[in-house]
Amino acid sequence: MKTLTDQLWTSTSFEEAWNTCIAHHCHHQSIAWRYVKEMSRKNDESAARIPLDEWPLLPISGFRERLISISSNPEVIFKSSGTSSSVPSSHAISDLSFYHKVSVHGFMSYYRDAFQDGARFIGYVPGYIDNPNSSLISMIGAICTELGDKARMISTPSELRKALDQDSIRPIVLFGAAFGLLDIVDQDSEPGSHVVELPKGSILIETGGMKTHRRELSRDEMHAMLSDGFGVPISHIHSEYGMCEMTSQAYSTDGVWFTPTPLARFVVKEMENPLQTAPIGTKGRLGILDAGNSNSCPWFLTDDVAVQREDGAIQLLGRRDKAVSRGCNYMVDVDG
Amino acid sequence: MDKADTVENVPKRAIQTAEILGKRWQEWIHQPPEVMEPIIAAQVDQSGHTRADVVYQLKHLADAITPESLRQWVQKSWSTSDSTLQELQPTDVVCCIHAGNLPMVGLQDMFAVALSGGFYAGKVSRRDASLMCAWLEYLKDHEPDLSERIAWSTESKSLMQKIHGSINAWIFTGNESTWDSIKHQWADQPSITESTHSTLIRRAEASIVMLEDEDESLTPSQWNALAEAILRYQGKGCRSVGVILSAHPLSHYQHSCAMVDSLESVLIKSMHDERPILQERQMERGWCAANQIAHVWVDHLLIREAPEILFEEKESLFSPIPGVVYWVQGNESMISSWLKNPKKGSQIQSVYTAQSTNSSKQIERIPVEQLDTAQQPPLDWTPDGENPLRWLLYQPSKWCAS
Repeated sequence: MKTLTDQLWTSTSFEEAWNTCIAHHCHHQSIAWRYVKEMSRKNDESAARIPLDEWPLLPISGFRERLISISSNPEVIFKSSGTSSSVPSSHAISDLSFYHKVSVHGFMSYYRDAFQDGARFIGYVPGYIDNPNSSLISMIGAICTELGDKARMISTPSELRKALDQDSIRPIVLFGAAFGLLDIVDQDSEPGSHVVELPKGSILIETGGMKTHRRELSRDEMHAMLSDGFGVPISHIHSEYGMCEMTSQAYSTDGVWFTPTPLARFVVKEMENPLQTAPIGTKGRLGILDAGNSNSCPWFLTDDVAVQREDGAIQLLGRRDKAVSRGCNYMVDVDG
Repeated sequence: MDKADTVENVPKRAIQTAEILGKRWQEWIHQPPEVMEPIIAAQVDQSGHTRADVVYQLKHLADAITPESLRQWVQKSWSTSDSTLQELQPTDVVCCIHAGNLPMVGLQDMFAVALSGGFYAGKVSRRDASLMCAWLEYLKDHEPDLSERIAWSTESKSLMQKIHGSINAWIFTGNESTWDSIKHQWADQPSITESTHSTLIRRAEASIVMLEDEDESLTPSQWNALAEAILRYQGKGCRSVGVILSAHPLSHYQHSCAMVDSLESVLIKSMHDERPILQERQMERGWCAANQIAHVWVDHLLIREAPEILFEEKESLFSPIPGVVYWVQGNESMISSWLKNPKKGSQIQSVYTAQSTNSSKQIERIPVEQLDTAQQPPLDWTPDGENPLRWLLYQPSKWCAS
């Protein structure tokens, strides 16, 4: 008999994986499943038939408040970097090898050709390296394992320079936290010169947003800086969207639109009515449906703001302003 | 100041101003319905509060602001032999950037400036403008002397045009980002960035109540006071209760008819009918139910056992979702530790007790008030721990020193 993760892994469509995932949550009457029943006021059978665009999403803050886990003994608990608050999110993973399989497969589906053409892989993860519970480190570690001697993980600018000095010809797929990559660029005081110049044909994939960087930048500004700083054409600056609460990831190869890997879907909910799906092209709060989260919560609402395209891809527009209108802040009115 | 100009250290002029303001306030607030109704209707439109809540506020303000209470406040504010206290001059401009006026924060600032002798320049929130502007209009029409030192507007630019000369002091109510916007808008006023000494900033979010001791049970009137404190003005005023501290877990009261009845009763009295119910709050209720977290859901209000993360040092004390009140099992020492915590302490406006207490009881120098005064504070209450009138009287000596 196939294990749950085998069933998910061999699914031929997202819908098939989703049905497997919700059947598992229903069977265990997980917290996530009980939430769906509470919100929909439906029994197991009816709840399982809720259309995806009506599926009640659990607030992402739940990952901070409780450890959401079907397994009483998860193999690993990923923790967020906790940059925006003192209490990180915790994500209980019951099968680490499945997490690795999903994340490596998602990554390779975009970059396999580059490696077949001789590219190397460098995971640049300053800051994260000290977090043993980082999902990003775990994922990059798995990519390195997959690619063998073509890949390495490094955590300081000097290591990066050294790696480039050793081989300045073969292109690189450089995957790194955006703030760390920008810190390297910021060291360059001479406009037009590059502190670190990547070999021709290289691709730079930034991830992790701007939460810890010392100044706010738009994605366009960030990509332009990375392009200038690393000597890589803007078309070769890609982005990854992932978080500790997800098993799947999403990638953007055009600097704008993110497409999730096969086990996940995006939904965008209305800003003020997060139980309602926002019309296509309308700004709203990003919801995640991740069938890979078989042990935790596969359906949750993030604090990211996004718009969605007909084909399901999303454009990220930043974070939601969570300031509460209450107390001295109540009815505050700053005119133009 | 000449002795002949004072009564027990209090300038006679301040006492006279208190008498005039009190008399005019009582005249204004007791105008016939045909005058007050349009003002109330506009206030309801602007604020989104129910008519019942606006009338509740007016009734309280009619009782709380009288010639006598104003005089007493003046006397209390001057009650010291401290020689650094000084009246302001009519040329000393105090700019008040008002947010909401619940239950009387902005209004108290306006009275404070008028009583201090300074020039009141009020930037009134467009979302809470009707009552304030109508009162200021009445005062201007009936007191020509006072009208010389009063200006207001709902628009910053318009207010700037009404102010001659520079602004000496600022009283601001809002949050960090709105204060930054105001500073940017009023950048040509050097005092806004020059010194923080003449800027009174208020940022408190909500209030806390200590409910009962372990061996006590609550009476219907105490439940009612709790319900009023939570629900009036949709629970959004700074004196509204956002955290309940009890000797018992919420599960102890979860099925209490007295509690639910009181909440229902105040909801009916305040005529508040939230439709549609905030979906984020519904999601929070679903989360509590799925996790078997003790909670009470009455109409649109959620009282829930507080999450553990609330006790972390850098975490907010109050729920980020309006209409969600946290229940914490604990005692007075917990409030003390929150007040000492920089993040949580700055969020707390007032601390109440549902039990009878002597009026001088304090926790970390914060006076413990009676719960039934939560939405009916006296005129001399101290928002964010500061008496604005007394604060103003300290400013002239600082200007001289600098």
